[in-house]
Parts: sequence; structure tokens; C-alpha cells
Amino acid sequence: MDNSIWISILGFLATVVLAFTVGVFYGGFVRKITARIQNRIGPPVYQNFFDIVKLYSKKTAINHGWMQHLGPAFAITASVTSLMFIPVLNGQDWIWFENLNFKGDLIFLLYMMVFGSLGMALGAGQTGNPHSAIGVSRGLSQMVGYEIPWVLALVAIMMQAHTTSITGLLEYQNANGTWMMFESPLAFVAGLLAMLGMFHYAPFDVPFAPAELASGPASEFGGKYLALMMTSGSIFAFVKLVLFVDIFMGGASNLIMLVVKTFLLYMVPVLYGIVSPRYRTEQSIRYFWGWPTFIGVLGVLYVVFTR
Amino acid sequence: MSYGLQALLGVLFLVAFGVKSAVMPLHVWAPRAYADSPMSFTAIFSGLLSKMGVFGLGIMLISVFSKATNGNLFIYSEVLAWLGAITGVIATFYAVIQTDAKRLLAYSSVAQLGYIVVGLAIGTKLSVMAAIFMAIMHAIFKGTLFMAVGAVERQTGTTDMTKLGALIRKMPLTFVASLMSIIALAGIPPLGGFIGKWMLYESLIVSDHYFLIVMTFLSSTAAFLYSYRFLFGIFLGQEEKEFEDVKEAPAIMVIPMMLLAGSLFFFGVFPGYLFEPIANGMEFLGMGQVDWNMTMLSNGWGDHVDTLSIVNSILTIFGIAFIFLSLKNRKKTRYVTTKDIHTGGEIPTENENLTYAVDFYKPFERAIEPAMKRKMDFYYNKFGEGLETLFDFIRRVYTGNGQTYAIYVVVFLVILILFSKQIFL
Repeated sequence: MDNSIWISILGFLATVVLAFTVGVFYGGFVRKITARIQNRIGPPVYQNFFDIVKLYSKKTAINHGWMQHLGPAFAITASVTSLMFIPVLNGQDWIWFENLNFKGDLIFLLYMMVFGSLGMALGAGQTGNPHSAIGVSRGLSQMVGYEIPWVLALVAIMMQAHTTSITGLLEYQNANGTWMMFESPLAFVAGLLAMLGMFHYAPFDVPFAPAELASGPASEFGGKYLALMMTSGSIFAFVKLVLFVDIFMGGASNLIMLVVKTFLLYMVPVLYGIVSPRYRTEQSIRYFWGWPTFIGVLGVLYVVFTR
Repeated sequence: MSYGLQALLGVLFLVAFGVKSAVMPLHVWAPRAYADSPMSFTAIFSGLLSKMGVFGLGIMLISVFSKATNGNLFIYSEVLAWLGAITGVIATFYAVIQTDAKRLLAYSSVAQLGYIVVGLAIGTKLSVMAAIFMAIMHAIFKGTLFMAVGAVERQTGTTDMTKLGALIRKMPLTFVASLMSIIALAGIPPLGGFIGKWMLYESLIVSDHYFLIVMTFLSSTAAFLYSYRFLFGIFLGQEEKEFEDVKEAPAIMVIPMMLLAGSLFFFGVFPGYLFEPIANGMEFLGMGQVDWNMTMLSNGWGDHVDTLSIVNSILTIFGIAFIFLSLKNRKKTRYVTTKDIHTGGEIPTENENLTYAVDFYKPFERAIEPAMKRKMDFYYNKFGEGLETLFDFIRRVYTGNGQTYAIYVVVFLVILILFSKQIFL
């Protein structure tokens, strides 16, 4: 009994550290790649790591009240809790720490993943900064857009595998020896298009729009608040990537495969974003309710008629 | 009874209870009734009385229709479920564009009733359980929210979200109660609203209602919009001069709100305390053995969610982050007003208005414009106008000329003579 508690704490720490490291360095790579495409030299890949460490060591200058104080805590709670429910590695002989993988399922995760944005939005709301409020209004509106193809994709694969749990989906893919992205390709495409919105890179960076909104919701957070929010953002990027790899690409059996798969996946929104301008909010919503939703509907029908 | 009569009876019952539970297209009375009634009663109207229609629907669907001799429940349940889902989506869209807090909550009630109707109409064990659980949760959190709006109205004299703002520092307890209820309304774990939503989605997907789940999810996601709008419009945002002296509502208003909000958390962790009476009721109505577990939810495919692990995980991580942020750090930070913000170099003057409250979701409104072009009222009005034209035409038989009436009498007598055999048999 004693032993299992220590193992679960160790698992928690190891998973968080892994997610943090991978997420932060992916952020650095994105900055480097963006710079190279724009013909700049760009910051070194470990720049984000330095930024976060620097922010952690700084004292926080101002606050606007309790809700702002709690906003970053909400955000990190959501990303770390989501991380706990997602299987990071899925090997035959060696399994990464179990954490809470068998205690939740996809529909729970859908809701858990919004918890952070809502908490952060409330924190940003208390600052009274109109940029933050506009950013939140845009972000939530856009969320309604991309959640529709995303849910359609999830429904399609859940019907295909007859399970709603992530571990169940992994088992299904292992047992069939194929990846979900080949078994229901239309659902994969819909999910991928929804993912473009989920990562908030251009052309879907409406909530943060640096040129219009001065980073929107984050603009009043400094010091430790910003550090916690950047940490949470890095972990959350990792969570989304691993979730996608788990449910569509058969999971990863070791760390190298995990990095390869998530990195390739991450490049889709990044490379698409670098060469794109920004949509207006209503254009962005209508984009997601157009082709991605149509493909998602086809994906569901495909599963219904072929299984 | 003949099949036709059974079908007609069913439709009539559904229409009757549909009016009470505000299912589209019979919902038009509800938003105004909930929004314009006196504040002290609205919590009961929306929270409890609207459940009477749901109760009637449940009784009819479970214990009467399923025992019909040669009827088929399928059509009723599919049509009713789709009507419920469409109610959810449309009412949510209307809630998003409201500027009055009471009216927002009223539309939100209609939307939530839509989910409950979906659950009842599907009629599997899990979905009925989900619907009844959601009905109870809705009574609790919507009651709390209406009480909170009542407290705000009493202290400030208005419920207009474009005028209110930044009451969080003046009415912190009301804010906490509203925050808890909003989290439950949005269906975010670990509060009670999540349990109902989870069971509804699982029952929909297990029973192959794949597009219904997307419709309910659309309205549930759009519900985040008005949830945030409600909290932001009343409690967050720029501080306004006219609300400087507002005080917290009296204890007799705050304590019930806090108790109800606390019960949301309790039922989110231990939903079993509600499952037990619900399961007993369902067994009484003849749905057979209903399985339930104190802290574990599960669906027909054997997937499950453990509420205790969720709550433990959330509380632990939140606690760590909170201690990290607050210890030492909190005291060193300086509190600044909402005028002391980053505005790109300009320093806002005392009287400059930085509030962002009017047309809060304009981009979203533009995106959903095609769906909002016509209100249901429009069709009712058109129907009424059509009837008026029809009766206007029929009225012309009264020409005011005695000769015409004499002809009517003759014609009537001729008909009577010619067809007397068929009429009187």
C-alpha cells in the first residue's frame, strides 16, 4: 500500500516533467522554424525554457483581485488533470506509469479540457482589460466552431471501436494491428482540421491576435502568473498531441516513437499557420462549420454503413 | 383501442406536456414568463415548476406508451428527442445574444429542458437516469442562479448586463455561488452538472444516436458562451462609478445560495445518493433492475468514470498551484484598479469608458445569422394572420341582406330532405 502511493507520486512527477519538457521544446522549435521560414535567425530552441525559468524566479508585481489570482491555477489544474487521464506510452513489455488512465474516458476529457480555458477566461475577465474581454469572446466563439468537427470525429471512432475510453481505443488498434487513421480516414481528416483550430495558430489565432489585441486574455498577467500560464500552455499542447496520437495513430510504444509522431502531427498546424493570414472570427467559425463538419458527417456515416 | 386512436392519444399527451416542458415549437411562452415574473418566484418557476412537464412526459413515455398494445414507441421517441435537441440548440443561441441576465437564464432553462427531454425520449435506462439526474441538478443550479440575480437586482436595481460590472469585489459570496452553479451548468467536472451530461452522451452513443449527440454537444458548447457572459457581465470587467457603494446581499439571501451551491459539489462527488431514489422510481415504473454505483459511472459498453479520482486529482493539483501562487507571492503583489491596465501606451483618464459589454458576441451572432432569421413567434403570427384571412372570407356569408338568409334556409331544408337518410340513419 505504501509502495503504491510512492509509485503514483513518481508517475505523476515523471509524466508532468516529460510533458513540460517536450511541450516547452516544441514551442522553441516552432519559434525557430517560423523564424527560418521568415528568413530570420530566430531564438535558440531552449529560449522558451529560459523564459519560463526567468518568470518563475521573478516576483509578481500587480494583481487585480482573487479571480485573476486563481485563473492560472485553474489553467494548470485542467492541463495536468487531463494529462493524468491520457496514456502517454503504450508498450507491450514496458508501460509508462498508469496514473489515472483507467478512471476516465474521452467524453470526460472533452469537458476537462475546457475547464482551463474557462478558468483563465474568468481570470482575464477580472482584469477589466477590454483586450482580454474581446479575446475571450472571440476564443469561446471559435471554440463552438471547432468542437463540432472534433466531436463528429470522436463519435465516428468511438462507434467504430465500440468504446469511449482511450485505453479501449488503444487496445482496439493494437488488436486489429492497424491505426484508426486508416480505419476511418474521414474521421481523421475532420479531427485534423479541428485540431488546426485547437492549437490557435494562424489562420485561427483570433483570440490572441498579437497585432490587434496585445495577446488578448494573457495581457494583464505577469511574473509567476505568466510563468504558470506558459507552463500550463506547454503541458496542454503535449496533452492534445498525445491524445491525438493515442486515438488516431495507435499510441506510441517508446519515447522516440512518441516524439516522432507528436512532432510530425504538431507540424501540421504550425506549417499551415506560418503561411496563412488571420481569419475574422465569424469566418473562422463558418470555416469549421463548412468542410470539416461535412467531412465529419461523412466519417460518421462511413462508420455506420461499413461496420 | 384502435391503432389510430392510440397514436392520436399519444400525440395529444406529448403536446400537452411539451407545452409545460417548453419543447420547440411550443416553447414561446417560457422565456418571457420566466424572465418577467417577480424575482422571488422565478427560482421556483424555472427550477421546480418546469419539471412538472418533464415528470408528465416521463410517466407517459415510460409507463404508458411502452405498454401500448400495438403501437410503436420508436417514432414518438425519435421525433421527441430531435425536437428536444433542436430546442436545446436554438434556445442556447438565443441565450447567447441576450443582454438581460434574467432573460439569459430563462432561455438557458428552455435549453436545459431540451436535454432532459432528449434523455427521457431515448428511453434507455442510462438516458432516463441521466434525464432525471439533470432535472434535479437543473433545479438546484438554476434556482441558485436566479437567486443570485435576485440578490444583484436587490442591491443594484438592475439586471442589465451591459450596465452592471465588477461586482465581484462587492458581492464575493454571491459570485462564488454563481460560479459554482455556472460550472455545473456548463457541465464541467467535478460538479454535479457533469454527471448528468456524461450519462446523457454515453447513453446517446451506446444507443446509436450519433447525430443527436452532435446536436446536444453543439448546444452544450455554445452554453459556455452565455455562461461566461453571465459571470463577466455581472461580476467581472471594468468597475463602474454608479455601483461603488453596493454591499453584499443580506445573509438570508446568501446562505440558501451557498447551501445549494455546496450541494452541487456534494452530488458531483457522490452521485450515488441521487441514483438510489432515481433507480427505485424507475424500477417502480417498470424499467427493471437499474444498476448504479456510489462514485462510479458506467455505460453499456463497460467504460466508466470514477468521480472520486477526478475530484482528488483536481483538488490536489489546484491546491498545489494555489499554495505556490499564494504563499509569499500574494502579499508582495500590489492590488491595482481596473483602470490601471495595459492599453498600449495610453493612460486612460478617470471618465474614459473601457467597458466591453455591448454586443459581446457580435462575431458569433454574425456566424449564426442564418439560424436566427426567423423566430418561432413569426410562424405563430403568420398562422394567426392566415386564420384571420380565412375567417374574414367565411364572414362574407353574412351579407346583411334578408333575401340571402332566406336562401340559406331553403338550401338547408333541401339538404335535410335529400340526405336525411344518411344523417339520421
